[in-house]
Amino acid sequence: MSGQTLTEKILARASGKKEVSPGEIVIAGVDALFMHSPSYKFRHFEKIGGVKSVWDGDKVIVAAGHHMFLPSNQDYADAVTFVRKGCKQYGIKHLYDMGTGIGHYLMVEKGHVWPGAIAVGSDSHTTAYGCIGCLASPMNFETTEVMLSGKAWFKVPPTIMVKLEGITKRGVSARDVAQHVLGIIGPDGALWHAVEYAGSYINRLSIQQRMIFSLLTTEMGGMCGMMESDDLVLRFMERRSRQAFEPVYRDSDAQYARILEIDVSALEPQVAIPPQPSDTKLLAEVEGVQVQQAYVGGCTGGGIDDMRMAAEIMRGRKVDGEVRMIVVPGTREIFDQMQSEGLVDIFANAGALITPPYCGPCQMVCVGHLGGGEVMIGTHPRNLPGRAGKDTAIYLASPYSTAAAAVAGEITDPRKYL
Amino acid sequence: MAATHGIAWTFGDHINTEAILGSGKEENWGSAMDGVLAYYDPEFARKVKTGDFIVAGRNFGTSSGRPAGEILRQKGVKAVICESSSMIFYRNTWNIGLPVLQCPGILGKVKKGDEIEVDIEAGTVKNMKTGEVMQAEETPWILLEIYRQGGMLGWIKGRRTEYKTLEQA
Ligand code: SF4
Repeated sequence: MSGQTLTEKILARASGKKEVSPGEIVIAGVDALFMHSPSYKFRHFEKIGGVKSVWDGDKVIVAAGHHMFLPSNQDYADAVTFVRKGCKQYGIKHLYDMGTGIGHYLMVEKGHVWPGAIAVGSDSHTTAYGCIGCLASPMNFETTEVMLSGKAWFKVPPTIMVKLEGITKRGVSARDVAQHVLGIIGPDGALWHAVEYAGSYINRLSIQQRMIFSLLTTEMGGMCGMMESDDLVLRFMERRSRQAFEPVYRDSDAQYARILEIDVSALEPQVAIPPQPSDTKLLAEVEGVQVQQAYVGGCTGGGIDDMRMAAEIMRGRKVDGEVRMIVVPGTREIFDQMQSEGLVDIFANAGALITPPYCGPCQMVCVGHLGGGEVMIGTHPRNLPGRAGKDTAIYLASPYSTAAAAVAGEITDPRKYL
Repeated sequence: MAATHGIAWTFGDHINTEAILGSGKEENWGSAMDGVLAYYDPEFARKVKTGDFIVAGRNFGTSSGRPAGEILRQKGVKAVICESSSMIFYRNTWNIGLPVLQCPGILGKVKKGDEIEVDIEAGTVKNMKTGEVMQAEETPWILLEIYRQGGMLGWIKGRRTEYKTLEQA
């Protein structure tokens, strides 16, 4: 029996097998099911008829406030009403309503996932919970079936190992490193694969910063992206996990489809240019591009560290007159922490707009629409066509670089403000 | 199920789901129908006919997990044949009842407007002009079973007694 990767070990345990190998189809018990809006899944329930409840109301989590902090029209409001009603009717116990934040942060913060667990979710960035050693994989349409059975099937993926060592230069953040890795692997370099991240660089990051890596794995086509749990994760989980758990660790002789070793110490600030999250360039190559909107938030930029980095740039400075700067904390807990650290004042004094926690203008479904011809820079994960309306362009960058662009009115090296 | 004939609409690599079903349109299906794939081929939404196929490059349906395959099905598309497919799109779309075949090399063998013959169960695609037959990768057995029931809803209904969460007749 050859060694197993973290992914293989979790899949084997959850499907009652000793070992699994890539290509095999396994059916696994699910510990958590995430959805931002189950409205069309509830319509499926109506079509199936006679649905009594979901399989376990404690394991289904709905973040109705993920895409909007308040509905901006009656269609949206009616959709949320329908979701609230459905959650009650089918016994779903965890509904995070308007203004509570981005579901992916909430899943981890509120302990709905834990090391060694299996989570699936209707959002493509469900890979996020890999940051604490949970195998988390996106699965949208089929969540209807998972809600009824509590099980999901997986095609056991080959695993790519990404080892990150070294310490970044000042002004270079986890987002820059993750963006660099995404650029190397490419938009389909991890298609139908798992990606596991390891190395001293990863272990020095906070959980929310690790989440940038697990979450962006989706932009490489990956089925899941994760790290082993370490002391930091176990301590974090002590207060939060909704269940006792036994973490899973990889075998030292595990087999990988590919191993990537990267030294982060020489990395410079990075940026994704439109129209692909994986179109990675050096920030230096796009310096001078004028922006009309700068967004600090989203599931890869709404963490407390992101807020601290952006505030470091904004302290005592003003947002450029031609720019709208939007700052959106990922959850209420993050917002509270920002307040107690004085970050809210820093942003407000700089002239930034701060909204309640939600996904922000990552998708233009609540506020912060771009006009035709406008350019945005943001810390969120996506800049694809159709995402932000016609004739718009989105650059993705670190909180330092995004804040620096808000001050300068154009993309610029943030290190001159540090 | 027998093989079906139809016209191919071709697309490149990394076609994303937002470009198939625009953001915020999930609750407003009508307005989404005219914008399907317009970013990549403005003719498609107007001219696609029932029974046509999409033939595409690598990583088709990348990005958001929204059920973009549903709008393709409603447009009349009979199957998506691509070099490779994003995992979520692939799983979603078979469950919707619309097959997705991953067929490496396909984009080099089929041009826009070519008539092709597709056999879903056998996983074969034939270009009627050149006569060349291409073999797609094997589809996971569970998806073929779901497809044979007309998609996920039919599959659930057909196995009703297996769910404690459903009332039994
Ligand atoms: S911030 Fe954007 S990419 Fe992230 S979960 Fe929200 S909508 Fe999706």
